[in-house]
Amino acid sequence: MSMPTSEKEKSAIAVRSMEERPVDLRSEIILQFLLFGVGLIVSFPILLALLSSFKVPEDIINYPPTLFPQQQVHVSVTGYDEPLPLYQLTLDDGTVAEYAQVSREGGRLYMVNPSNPGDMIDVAPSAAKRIERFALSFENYETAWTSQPFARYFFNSVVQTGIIVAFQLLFSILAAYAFAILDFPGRNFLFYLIVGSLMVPFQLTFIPNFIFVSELGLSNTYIGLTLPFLASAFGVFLLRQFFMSLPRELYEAALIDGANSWLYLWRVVVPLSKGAISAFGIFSFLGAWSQYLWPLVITNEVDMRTIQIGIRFFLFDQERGADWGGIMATAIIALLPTLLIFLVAQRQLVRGIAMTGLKG
Amino acid sequence: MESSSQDLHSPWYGRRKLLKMLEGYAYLTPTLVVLSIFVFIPIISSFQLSLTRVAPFGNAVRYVGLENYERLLVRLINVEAAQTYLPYLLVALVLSVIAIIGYSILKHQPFGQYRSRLQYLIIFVVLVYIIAIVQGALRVSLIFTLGTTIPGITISVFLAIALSMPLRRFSWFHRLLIFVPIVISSAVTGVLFRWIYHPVVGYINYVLSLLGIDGPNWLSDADWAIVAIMLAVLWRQLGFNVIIALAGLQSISSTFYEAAKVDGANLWHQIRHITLPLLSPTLFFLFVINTINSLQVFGEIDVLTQGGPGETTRTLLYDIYFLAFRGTPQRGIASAESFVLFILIVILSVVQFRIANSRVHYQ
Amino acid sequence: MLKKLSVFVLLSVLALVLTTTSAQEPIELQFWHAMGGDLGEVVDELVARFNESQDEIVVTAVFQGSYDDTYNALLAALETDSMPNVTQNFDLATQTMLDFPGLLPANTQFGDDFDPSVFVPAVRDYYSDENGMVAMAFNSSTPILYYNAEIVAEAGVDLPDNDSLSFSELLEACDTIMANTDTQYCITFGQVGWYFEQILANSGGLYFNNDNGRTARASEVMFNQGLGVEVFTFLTDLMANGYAPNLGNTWTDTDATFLAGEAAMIFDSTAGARGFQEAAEFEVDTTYIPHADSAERNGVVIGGAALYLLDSGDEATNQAAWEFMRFMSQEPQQITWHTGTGYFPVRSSLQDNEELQTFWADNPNFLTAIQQLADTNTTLDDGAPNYAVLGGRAGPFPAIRQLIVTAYSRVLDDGLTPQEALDEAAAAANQELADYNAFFE
Repeated sequence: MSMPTSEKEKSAIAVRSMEERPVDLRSEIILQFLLFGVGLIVSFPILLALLSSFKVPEDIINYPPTLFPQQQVHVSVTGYDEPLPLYQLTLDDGTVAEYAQVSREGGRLYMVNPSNPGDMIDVAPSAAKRIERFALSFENYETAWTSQPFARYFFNSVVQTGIIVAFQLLFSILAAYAFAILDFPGRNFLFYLIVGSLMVPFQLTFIPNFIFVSELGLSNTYIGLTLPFLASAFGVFLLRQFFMSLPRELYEAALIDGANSWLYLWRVVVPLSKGAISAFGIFSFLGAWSQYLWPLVITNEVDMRTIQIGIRFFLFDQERGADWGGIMATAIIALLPTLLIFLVAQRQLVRGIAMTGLKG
Repeated sequence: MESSSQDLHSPWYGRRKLLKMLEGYAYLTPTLVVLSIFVFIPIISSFQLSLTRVAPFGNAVRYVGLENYERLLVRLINVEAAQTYLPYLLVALVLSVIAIIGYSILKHQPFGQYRSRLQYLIIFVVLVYIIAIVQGALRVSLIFTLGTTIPGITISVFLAIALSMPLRRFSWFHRLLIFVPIVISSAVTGVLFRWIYHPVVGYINYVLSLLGIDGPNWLSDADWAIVAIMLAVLWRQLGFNVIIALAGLQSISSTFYEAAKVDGANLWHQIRHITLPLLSPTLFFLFVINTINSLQVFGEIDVLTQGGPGETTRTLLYDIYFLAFRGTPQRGIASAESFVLFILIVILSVVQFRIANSRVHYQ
Repeated sequence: MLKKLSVFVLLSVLALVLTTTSAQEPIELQFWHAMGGDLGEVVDELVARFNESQDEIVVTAVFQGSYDDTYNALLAALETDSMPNVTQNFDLATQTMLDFPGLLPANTQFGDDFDPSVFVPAVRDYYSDENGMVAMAFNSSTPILYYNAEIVAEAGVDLPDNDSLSFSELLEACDTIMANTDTQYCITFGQVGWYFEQILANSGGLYFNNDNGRTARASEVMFNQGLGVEVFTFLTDLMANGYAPNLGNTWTDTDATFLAGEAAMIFDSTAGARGFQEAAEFEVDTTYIPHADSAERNGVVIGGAALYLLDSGDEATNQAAWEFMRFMSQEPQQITWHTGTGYFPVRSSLQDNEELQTFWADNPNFLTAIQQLADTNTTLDDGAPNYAVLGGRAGPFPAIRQLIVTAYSRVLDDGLTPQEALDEAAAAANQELADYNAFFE
């Protein structure tokens, strides 16, 4: 959509349609830099979490903060069972040497020369600098994964999310279609009612819903986990906006051709709105997958818990306060499934979105 | 909606119309049933609860009438300021009308042409008044919503326009990097930003210090904490907003642009006169959803500040959560506050729908 | 005749059912707790040990998240009649638990063979009413002062091994540390309410009226008088005058600051001892928390949580639940618990235990907390109970603690004096107390 800069380019419009014509080179370079810069800033927090999740505890809290995971080099020294941590020392006479630390007492570090175990000195901590090199540690993932039965949680989350997404898609397509295409008395009122339900804060309905679902005896069941979320006012709203952008003539033409509106929905509207529907599918998935408060109260058996509960339990464990490495590893575990699904669906989504609008 | 003219004289007209009506209701039934059971009916029982005060274990309930609401009124609205500023509000409203009338006379145009401008001016004036008289959690909620929706949508629309440019390569890569926060739940967002904002070992202040800036104490400075949360929420919602905006852009027929190019419009003109007006259904949708989402942000606040320092980041929703689920649970007053939040969301949405009715263009 | 016969048959079937269930079917108990991560593993180990020790009772331990989550789960279970038999709840919720009709006070289950005097007095009395212990203390912790021994040594400051500094002594040490080292801050602590409560108690000040709410329901707070103002001024001045970073209401950012060597000292829970020991790249030492200049050291109030017995309506089940709670407080379990977590043993006899002596020799920081509590004066010179260190008790205490968090910000951000901020908090707290007490008039 950039302004053609030369006559030559203007003539190019005549032969190429808008979509195929790449932008001119100068705009291309500016946009490449701009978008890459923005993309880097936007994805930085996730990148940082990923890198931090591979850090050992001593490495994670550092000033100035480091980006890449490092570990202190350890060396085996004759006469010591365990490998000792290696330091770079600035000695009193200003020379620099590498020593391994034997012990740390009374504010002094006791060091041994690794190549000459008889050479032992003690120094102030400020004179010693750790020698580190890049190394990935999987310790945090081990801690996080073994802290709870995550495999079971994962399965529960998949079932719960699957049910919610399937029903939300079906129910929303039907309702959005009714609002966008069909005509019946009270249509606007019902639409505002449904959009209005989006405005009801979750807190307002939470406790009555909980009592209702538990009295049906559905605590600790998949039905109980999913029942209140089978319909989505958001989905109705989103899809209705898209369905309305389809030209009305298409509907009338289809009716003349003898299609009924049920067929029109599934043969025309749904295929044409694949992008919008898959977009809603992804939002619905993400929403269901990250649900927390409801699964927390409606399940009190370990076997029925979802992955988000496991993650929140880990993240908000006060006693674990200082374990940032474990927290980052848990955060990565939490977003990995959604990230994978998103990566797979993203191409589909963008292609779908590109096809959504009726061109020409 | 316009009726299909070919049906008008058919003998089946009446019956078909009835069937079509029923068809509409049938399609709506599943959604309406679920929403009725899990949204509309619970509102009534919550309202009953809001007229009581309940002991933490629910073992003692006292009916208090509207006392919960009275207390909330005092907490959320500065009554004194409301009275003091009321004359100013009236004067400002009268001045707005005069100004627009004057403008229309000056431009030799009928007044009706400027009705929507007057509408905006009035909304703006009333908004300023409201922000001046609210306090506590209500004030935090309003500022927070303004500070996330407007910048968030603006950034997203421009990013979407940039992303929709037909680049030679890496288009998918840029989209991926910008979309990716969408996979992150609000609690995890909180955790990531907590790490970045850390006053001692955090990245933001480290980068700022490299630039010679002494960064603020993001989460414990009363002025910066709300900005810190806004940034985190903007970040998390960016992917969603850009995807929706991009979808809206793609559905704008290219013939409009081609026509504009023939007329010699430059890029800004195209955006101003074609993209934005035709994107208005999408923008409207984004505003409604973003407003509702911003008023219901939970995870980031819970992880980053828990409403602090003091109560500077305690939004209505977080206040409700705090009252109902933390420490000493007070579910009666929490229900009353949920209603206040509900009413606020309804008012804001009605305003948005009103504006939309006059401004949204469907192709 | 037929009628008699049928009654007979019915009775014998019933008897058969009853005997078979009691002989073969073990009693199943649900135990809900809030101990995640490493702590949760130790809980699981203890529960497994209990299940193996006998074959009449099977306990299932279910981790329910934070204390708030566990409480909400309990509330949720109450609505549907699916309560656990034993639940863990935190210190401040004691009065709420006492007011909960489903609670079965532990003292109703005491048999002749149970002697409450074996418990550390401060722990036992905290969870007691006039009839004795209502809950079984399980994970008890107190705050201590951790310090970076290397920075403190570099500054040439000598902190006492196991004693409490007065405010001015602490400030003097801070001045020396900040003058002689390049450490950014002398001390760090979160604005969490707990340290205010503890340092106030250590200075002998009461939080609530009616003997800290222990001889009658608390109806007013007393923290805005005399000692409370002195303590709060001290804490807010540390932040206002640059001795401590203002990190807000946090438990974790302070840890990171201390571990990064940016602050020489930190107030933190004894439960953090193991974490600091493992994560610090420097030597960590500990001592008692400070007290006001105008007062003597009194000691600390125990924090942490306790186990509550919930009435299942069935005597045998309740008895079994009590057996489990009792088991958890016995010596071998307490040794495992203490060495595994840093929460201290609740039985007095364990202070001379050989196994623990060896453990403490290697981990002296674990001992500081125990000595700090042992050095707590639970009775005054005239023999009356020292209500200050027995700790406050009030229904809305958790909500009131939050008001102190707000008061920090009112001083540091809005420029109120500590007195003004505490008065404001007190007014709100008194309203909370009145609202709560109105339920039980």
